[in-house]
Amino acid sequence: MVAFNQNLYRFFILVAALTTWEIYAGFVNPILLVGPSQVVSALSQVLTTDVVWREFTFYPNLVTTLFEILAAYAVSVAIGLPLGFAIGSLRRVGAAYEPLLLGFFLFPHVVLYPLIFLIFGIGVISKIVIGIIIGFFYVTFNTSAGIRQVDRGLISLAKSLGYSEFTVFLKVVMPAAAPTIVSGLRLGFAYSLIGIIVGELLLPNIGIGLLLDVTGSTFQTASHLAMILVTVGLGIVGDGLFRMAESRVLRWRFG
Amino acid sequence: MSITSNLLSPLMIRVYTVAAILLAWEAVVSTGTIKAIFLASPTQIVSALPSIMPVFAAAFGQTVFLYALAFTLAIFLGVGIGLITGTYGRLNGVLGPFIGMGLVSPKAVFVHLFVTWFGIGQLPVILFGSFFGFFPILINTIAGVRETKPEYVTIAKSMGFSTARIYQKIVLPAVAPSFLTGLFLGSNLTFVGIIIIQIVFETSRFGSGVGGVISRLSELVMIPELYAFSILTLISLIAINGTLFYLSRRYDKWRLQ
Repeated sequence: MVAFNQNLYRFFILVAALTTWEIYAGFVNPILLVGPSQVVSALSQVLTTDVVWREFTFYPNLVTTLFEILAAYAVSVAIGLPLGFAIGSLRRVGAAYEPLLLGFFLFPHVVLYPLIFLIFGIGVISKIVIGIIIGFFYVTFNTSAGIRQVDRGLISLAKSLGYSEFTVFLKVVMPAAAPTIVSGLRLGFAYSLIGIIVGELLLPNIGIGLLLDVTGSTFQTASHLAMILVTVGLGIVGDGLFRMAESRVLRWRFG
Repeated sequence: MSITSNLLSPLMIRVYTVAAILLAWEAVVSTGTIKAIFLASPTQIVSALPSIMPVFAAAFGQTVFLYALAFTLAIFLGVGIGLITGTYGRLNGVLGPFIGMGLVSPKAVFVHLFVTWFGIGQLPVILFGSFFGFFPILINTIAGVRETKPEYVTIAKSMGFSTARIYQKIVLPAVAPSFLTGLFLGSNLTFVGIIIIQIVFETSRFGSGVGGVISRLSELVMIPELYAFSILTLISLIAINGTLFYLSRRYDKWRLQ
């Protein structure tokens, strides 16, 4: 009996999906859908010639989007981590402000994006602000949750052994909270990216969002799908890198 | 003692914070510290409310109708696929990464394709909303099924329960709490999807919805009206989502009794 191999099945599913897509695309108008082979050739053409459509170039816009994502993520972490530590470890601050933050987190902010464009302008800043608004919550809430779930017994034991507050934090709280905090850092990245892409699509004047808008509204379906592939690929590659880093950072816990 | 502790209760601290933000906002706009072209003060927003109210009522009514259809579709698909995927452990193991990718990938990139494929009526709006709301419902349903205690199922089987009875009496009650969480998140995201597609395709196609009006108001630089409209929208959405949240808590209490 052969062992059940998940990756084999995943591979089969992918191949089956791509084949179906390719065959189906042969029967429909290329404005509606083109097959994966044409998407790949459109993508390779974009990558080699740097031209997406007419005067719209690929690499400068990709760099803009990457810059926005990294900037939004950096600020999300810079705000989210300290805020999460404060909410998680100071009981009064947590009781007072967590419901407020949670309330802000749990409504569709997308309603406010046009206002953000008006206040912060049509350049990169407004997109970065949107990325921060979506991203920092995940960092904050995972950090505070991670700190709260630390076993109280461990803390009082360390204190009774004469550890200072700082040592307790460094040696007990941090290691115990690390997995939750690290997964918050990963989610923060994924959602900062989502925020940037949504911002660029709602006001498509720079970045990958501009290329998506241009190719989509002129029905350049092959290039449009290629741009979708790039965007989704950014998310998948970023998430994969974070997962690798996550298992590396957390390996010592089980060593 | 009790008065001071009441005045410093978490609720009061929240009230102070919000009041301070509103006062500071009013102050910087009315004194002109920040140029007021794109900022409206709280008093300006309140005075714009009466004129924007009828516009809001019409737009929100239209959007809530689309939302109801989109959300229903998302629930059917999410629960249906979730029950199947959750029941078969191997299927869940194989599909897991694909579903996870669907949850965290930027779904907004498909907005143009939805219009290319489903035309310029309200169909793409409904389907785009479902597409957004589907994943949290799916994932939480799967998680719920996975949490069903296998011993219960074994006992029920040994007592001769049919599969349908097992689902009715054991699996579905076990799924309910996490499904309700998914419902809440999914409702939120369904609105997000609908508003995104309405903003992106505002002028030409779906101008009558909430997203369309928001986009139009910001193009016309009708700032106090834009703020008033956005705030009305947010309050209404919070009311709808809050009701869902309340219902899920109530159901949970009833279940545990």
